[in-house]
Amino acid sequence: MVHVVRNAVEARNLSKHYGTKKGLIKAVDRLSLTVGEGETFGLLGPNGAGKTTTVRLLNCIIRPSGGTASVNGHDIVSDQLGVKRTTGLLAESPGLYEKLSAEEFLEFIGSLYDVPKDLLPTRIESLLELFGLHGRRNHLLEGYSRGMKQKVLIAAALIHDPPLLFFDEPTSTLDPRAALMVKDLMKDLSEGAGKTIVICSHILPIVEELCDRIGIINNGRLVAVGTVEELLSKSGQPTLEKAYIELTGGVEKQELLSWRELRSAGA
Amino acid sequence: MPGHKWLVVAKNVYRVRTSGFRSVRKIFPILVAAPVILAIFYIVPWFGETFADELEVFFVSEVAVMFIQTLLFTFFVLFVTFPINFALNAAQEEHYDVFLAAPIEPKDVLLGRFVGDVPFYTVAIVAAASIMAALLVPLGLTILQGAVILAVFALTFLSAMWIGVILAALIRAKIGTSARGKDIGRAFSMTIALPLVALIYALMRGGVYDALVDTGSEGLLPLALDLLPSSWGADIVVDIAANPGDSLAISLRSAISFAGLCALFPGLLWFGSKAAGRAYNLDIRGLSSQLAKPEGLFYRSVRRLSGSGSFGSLVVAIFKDYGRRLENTSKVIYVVGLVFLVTLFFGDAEDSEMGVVMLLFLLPFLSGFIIGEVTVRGKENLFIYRKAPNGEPRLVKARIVQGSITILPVAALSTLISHMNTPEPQAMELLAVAAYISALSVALVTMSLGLFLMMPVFSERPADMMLNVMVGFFFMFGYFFAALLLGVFAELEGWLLILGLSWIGGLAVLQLGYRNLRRME
Repeated sequence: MVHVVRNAVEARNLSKHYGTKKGLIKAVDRLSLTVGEGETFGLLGPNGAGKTTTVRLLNCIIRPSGGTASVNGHDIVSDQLGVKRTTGLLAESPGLYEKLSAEEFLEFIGSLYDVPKDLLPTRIESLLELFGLHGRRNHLLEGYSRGMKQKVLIAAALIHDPPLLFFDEPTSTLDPRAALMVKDLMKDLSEGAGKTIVICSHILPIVEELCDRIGIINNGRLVAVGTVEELLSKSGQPTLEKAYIELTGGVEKQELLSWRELRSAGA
Repeated sequence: MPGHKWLVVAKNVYRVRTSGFRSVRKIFPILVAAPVILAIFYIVPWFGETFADELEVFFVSEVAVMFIQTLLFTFFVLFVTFPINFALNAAQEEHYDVFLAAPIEPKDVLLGRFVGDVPFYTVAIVAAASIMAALLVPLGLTILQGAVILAVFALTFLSAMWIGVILAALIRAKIGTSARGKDIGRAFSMTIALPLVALIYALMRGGVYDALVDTGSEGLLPLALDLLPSSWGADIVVDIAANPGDSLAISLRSAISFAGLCALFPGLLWFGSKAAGRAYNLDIRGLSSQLAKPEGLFYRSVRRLSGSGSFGSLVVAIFKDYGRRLENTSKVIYVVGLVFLVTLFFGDAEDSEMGVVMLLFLLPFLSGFIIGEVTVRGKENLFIYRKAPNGEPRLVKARIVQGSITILPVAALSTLISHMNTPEPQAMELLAVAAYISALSVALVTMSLGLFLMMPVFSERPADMMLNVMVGFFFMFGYFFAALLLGVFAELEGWLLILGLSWIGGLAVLQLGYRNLRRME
């Protein structure tokens, strides 16, 4: 029997350009990438490299300037509804209705994604329990800490139980315990529930541990893709951190205390 | 040696205030001063010379006392309320941690904020004082008298502004540390203008002006005005105006008033420096966060009205987020308050149509304030809908439903208020007007939504919303003008024309707004 692995994400020469007075900014430049169904894929890159733009393109939040992509078999330009129904997104800087309680916000998002009315309350209950928010379910979100808001947003991304999840910086505002919980959750979603997960993160150990493959993006272009071992071998570096620095154009070591020299000389 | 810290703060305030026109920041004072100088040296003296006789009669009359007293009083109140209003609006944007972590005294922060704003207020002070002095020049004003007038205006308004700055800092410290407090602040910043509007309307048409010009009148109002520093300044200005050319002809009362003004400003500065420590305090006064109340009859009805399904949940969620912000309620109260004040002071019992015309021009403000919410929480909130299947059309529909449910009772209430001067209002007429205003309101909700989606305002500052609100107002003005031009105004055809144009314009603008929403990145 032949086991066919379908691709959950297939992007070909995907581009997003912004025209400014000073010229063209290539936020994403001819990016080609595939993510297999059930795979956990990590997208790494420095600030402003194009990770968030890529995620927004793949979620039909913005339109590509060129190239094509399909998500779960749906084209991101011609079949946006199909894409949106089958993906969940935790955005890097997400919108939040701060005057709603966690429960009300999840009900709102669930309704937007047409979660059946009889299923929605149970799912909200379960997610609030899972994230330890049940006790504060009726508190307005404006009173939540950043970490608690992040938990609500992760719950919102899961509310319609999509087969493909995009997590843009999922643990950046969480305390170690909550970050560990989210990491374990992503692992369970992948291994236990067979979800496809795309993670954008700067926290290399999480990406290294969770991701089957990693793509490194720099200046809008995918500069390397492969398993951790493949990236290490390609860069000739012993650790993912060093490989990442090498592949994204490592900077020369500078004298980090040079800013004090003038004062010392004058002192 | 470190420089004056207050100067550092003042410079920063000036930079923040002028950040919108950075390229002309350096020549900004010249740009502002040029028209003022032109007015002082050419326009006002010309006016003074042309009407010298009339001005002489005016300045020796009793009316002049009250006129200048009223003028100074109005400016005094404005100068106190400006900083408070600004502080209440910006409570969320202030970050005191920077100041509190730095080696700087709270009094330097307060003084710096005041000095940073002084250049802008100085323009108004110098313009008002110079215009007053220039008017008196043809009557033979001496240089000393001119200088005293300038000093009176400067001391009065700087005192007012300093009081405003202190009160603003104290209020901000009180409300700025909690989400609820910030909410109350923004709500209050809107309604704080209502008493001032009432005062101005009263001065224009009501009994306050009569009380002022009737010097024989006794009562609390003239007495209260006498106690205010603005009235001390008025005494001096009127004394000078009555005796131009004679620097020594100052009454004892005016001399005491001037001494009082001279002592007041340093006294207030001293008091402010003492109160500064209390004003810049980030201690949280309570850790309780607000709870969402269980859905009552209102939200259950909204849910049912919206179809009970997932769309009903959307409308209810949007409504809750809207309704729980006090500032939204205060905007509605502000417009209804305006309807009340305009009807009270300018309403004509014989002409009920004027009330409807007034509503025509106030409704674009109301609909703009209600619907402007759609974009103020930023693009990220719109992207929630962009990400969801069919999210954008559902957002538009839900906002129209929410806006209509909000505006309809307010429109009905405004209709009733606009007829409060009518001796015996006919029930049928009232019903017809209410139905008309309601239909118009929903059309304006549609147009406002289109406008805010076409020209999104990603800021919570009410001032930023005003452009779209004014565009709505001009649309209404256009419809009104069309009815006038066709000679059908105040006839049934005219009212129907305005209603029809409102719907056509509303739907067209909404279509454009929707297109922009889908393209927004």
